[in-house]
Amino acid sequence: MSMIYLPLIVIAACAFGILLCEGWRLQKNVSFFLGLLALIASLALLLNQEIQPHLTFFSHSLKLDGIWYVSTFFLIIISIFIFLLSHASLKPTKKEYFFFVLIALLGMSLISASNHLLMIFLSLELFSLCLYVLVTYNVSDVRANEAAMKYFILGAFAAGFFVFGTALIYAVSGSFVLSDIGEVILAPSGYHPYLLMGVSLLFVSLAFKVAAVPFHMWVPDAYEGAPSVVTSFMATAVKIAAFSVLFRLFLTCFLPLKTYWHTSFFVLCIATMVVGNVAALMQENLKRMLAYSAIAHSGYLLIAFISFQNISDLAPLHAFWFYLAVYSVMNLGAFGVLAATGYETLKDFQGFGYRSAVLALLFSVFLMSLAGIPPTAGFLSKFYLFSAAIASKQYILVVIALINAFISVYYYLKVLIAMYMSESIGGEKVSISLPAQVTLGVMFALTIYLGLQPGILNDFIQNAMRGVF
Amino acid sequence: MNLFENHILSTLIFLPLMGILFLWVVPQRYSQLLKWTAFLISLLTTVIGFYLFFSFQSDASMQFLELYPWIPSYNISFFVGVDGISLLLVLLTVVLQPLIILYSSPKTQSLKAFYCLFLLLETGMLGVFLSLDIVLFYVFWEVVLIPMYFIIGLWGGAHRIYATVKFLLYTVFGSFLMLAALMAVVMIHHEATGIYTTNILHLYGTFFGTLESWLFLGFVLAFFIKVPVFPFHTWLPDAHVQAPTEGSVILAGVLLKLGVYGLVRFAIPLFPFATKGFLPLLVVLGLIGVLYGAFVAWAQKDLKKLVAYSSVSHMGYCIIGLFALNVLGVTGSIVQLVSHGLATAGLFFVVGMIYERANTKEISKLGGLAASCPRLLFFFLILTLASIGLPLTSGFVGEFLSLLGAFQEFAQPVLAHSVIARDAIAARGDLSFTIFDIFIFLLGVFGVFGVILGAVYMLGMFQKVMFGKPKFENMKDLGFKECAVLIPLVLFILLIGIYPNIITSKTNPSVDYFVKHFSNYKIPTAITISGEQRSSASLRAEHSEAWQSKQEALP
Repeated sequence: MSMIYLPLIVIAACAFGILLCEGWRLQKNVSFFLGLLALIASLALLLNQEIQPHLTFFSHSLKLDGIWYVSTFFLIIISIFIFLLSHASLKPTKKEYFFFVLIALLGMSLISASNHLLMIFLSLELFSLCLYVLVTYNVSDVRANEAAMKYFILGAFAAGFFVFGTALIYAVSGSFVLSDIGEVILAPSGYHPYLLMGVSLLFVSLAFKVAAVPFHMWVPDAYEGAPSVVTSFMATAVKIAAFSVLFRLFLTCFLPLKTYWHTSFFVLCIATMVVGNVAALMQENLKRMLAYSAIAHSGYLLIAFISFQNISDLAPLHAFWFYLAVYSVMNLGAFGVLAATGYETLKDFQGFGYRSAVLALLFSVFLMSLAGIPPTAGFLSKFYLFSAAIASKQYILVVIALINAFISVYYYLKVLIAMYMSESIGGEKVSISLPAQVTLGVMFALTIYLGLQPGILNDFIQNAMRGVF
Repeated sequence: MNLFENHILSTLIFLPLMGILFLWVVPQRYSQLLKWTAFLISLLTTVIGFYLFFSFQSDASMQFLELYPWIPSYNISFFVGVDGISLLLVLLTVVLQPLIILYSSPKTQSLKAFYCLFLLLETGMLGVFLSLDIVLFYVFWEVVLIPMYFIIGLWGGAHRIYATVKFLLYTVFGSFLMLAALMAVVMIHHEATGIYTTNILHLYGTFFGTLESWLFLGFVLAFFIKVPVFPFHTWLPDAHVQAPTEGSVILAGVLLKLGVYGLVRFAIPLFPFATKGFLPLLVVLGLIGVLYGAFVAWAQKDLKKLVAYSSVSHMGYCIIGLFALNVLGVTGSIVQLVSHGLATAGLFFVVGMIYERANTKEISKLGGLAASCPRLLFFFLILTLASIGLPLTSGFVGEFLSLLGAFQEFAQPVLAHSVIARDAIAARGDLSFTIFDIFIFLLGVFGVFGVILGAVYMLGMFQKVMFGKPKFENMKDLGFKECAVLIPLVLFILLIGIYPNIITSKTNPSVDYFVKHFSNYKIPTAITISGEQRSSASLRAEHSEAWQSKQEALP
């Protein structure tokens, strides 16, 4: 019982085991299999745990509740497929690569469990530093170095905002623990201006991490510069981690302040959707296009925060986690195709439908799902999210979101046109290795299956969210 | 047999989808085998369709209902059923589908994908016509888009990409706004009753208050784009001209009908007050479509474009007839749907056959085909006359009933005012006389001009193409396969034209029911008379009475 955090210990131990392997200069596949084994073991351990919503650990700094459970579950699964994709597409694999992926996973899992502002900061830094390194996986690539530099400097700025916000909140509440801060907020004495300033600084810092406009500038560059498989890790895992902490802070601890943060979320949500989609229209590089589409999807996810009104109606929150899961599946699929083929621009994809029919079909399904065309899971996730928003009377927001979804159809279509309807540039059939085939196959099956039978994921989320509020 | 009877509709919907699996295993190089497998599958759906037609009881109820829970959290279910209106459109779909596959020539590139897409398209279309669950309907509505997008984009003409992107963007724009309206309908129903349901029969009669107009417009925009009605029609000529013959046939034959069907099944019964409110606008748009389509068709130099614009004009009659909202008009509108589906599909086939022979679709380059192609002359003539609406063809029945219904509804206030004494009108109470009525009346008159214009441009085209100095020596006449494609169409056109009762007997109870229940929703004064606002509670109570009486009438 007390070892509910055992999955995290397994991951951490294995990460250092991999470093030791490097020291002994073992076969290069050893670290891959060791990491994969650890991930599967920790997934099994995680599924064995009973969720204890109110138990805290390490002087209240960790709270291993439903938010942690759901996001860690998603994160571990994503990491398993990232391992497979990395094995397939990164050659030669540097051994410390898997170490960094595991430590980043550890940081992300910790941040989703953090119940303490300093703990959030530490885990934020833990996984961000790993990612700065992962982005420069190709040391000789100028683009990668530039991307990592931008990501690092802007990320450091965001971290600074976070620390300053933490300090201001500490000044008012005298505590870093979220439940204590929550009590101060609920106290009838009114809000100290420092508290509100602190909250807005935290918001800026996290908006940077979830890539909300206008804090999104690093996203296209970092996504483009990083190897495709690292990009897919950033687009899925980082987003889950950042959103889970945004979720914990703003929907539990700072919920009484909703009148204050509602407007800024609203404005950011619309700006993120519009800027993300309109900018994606103009991209010729698919990695940049999918980066902007990832920004736009952050905008859709912010709708859940705005529609959540009281704890008697949890529909927006269930829709939020469902969307996040489905979003990860389809993005892992779409970036997985880029990683497995090594293609980047629209030009590379010309005539792809005739060269590799199956891969092109899978890619089309992932893109259609991102656009929200039924019967894929992407449609159903949008349906859940937007219905929840309509139920809380956010009509304008939903209409704007759907017009944005309409815009997004156009740029996803551009890829389909390139693949099927333009002159082929020749080139031979692309063959991808078995791990990549497994990854893409599973993602395809999930995209279709969750579109037709969402019940299993819904039940999982609803079970886990019980007791969070 | 009983098992089949109980699952007949889901069999019909998913048979083409299963067929795709069959086609998947046939190797690409056996082009004939691919074609005949696809043909056999679609012929099987035709047989089931006719079985459905003959075992359908002529009453207003929804029949062959099937209900399986799908997504329990919002109570979304796989709920299908057929009534007289959807029955005809299902029949139209399953009749056209094997003809298209029979017509398709195995020379086409990537044949397997071609047939798979057509079968997927059939599943989508049948699903749209048979769904009684609003989310299921939306899913099928979108499923239709993807195969059509690829059919135009992969096998189309020189500007196919522009055309297919335009087609897709127009339709998706409409359908996303419809999605917003659809979700709002479900949520408002939930708020009023505490029950989540997406079952359309339960959603009828929900009171939407001030939002009703917006929701109505969301639905109507999607359907009007699909029909297409005048300002939203610009995607149609591009799509038709660029699409391969098979694509044009299914587009004109069935896809355009989805829009009108959506109005009948969803937009009008869900939002009766808003329908009344927007009625003048909608009818005027339909009339503009009739006249505008006819004039533009008159000016066309390209054969396919001419037929495409004539579609705009003919679909206008469906809109006019439908929004007359009386038995005559709605029946006319439904018959016109079927008739247009048959005649225009036939015309697109003929255009395709001419293009195969002459390698041009320009009217000025054609001429004198009658001399060498008597069989072509025969079929082309009947299809042209059906398109014009000559008596004894199905086109006449549809156009005549639509216009008659519209006259009964819109012209009567004007006629009554001028002919009958004023107090007679006063006794009828609700008949008021405005400038706008005169406007409608005049437009109604102009609507009839559309028929004349139809004769002008269709006969002009026919004459230029078939008669005059022969420009082609020894053109090959229609072969056996091509006759086999056209004969069923011509037979149905004449059958419906001579004895329309064969289909109207099936539709009439459903149309009666539709019209009666539409007029049962009295317009609440809170909407018509500003100032005197009634409480929404009393309105809802009044409304739920109407709703309950309807529930009892349901099977």
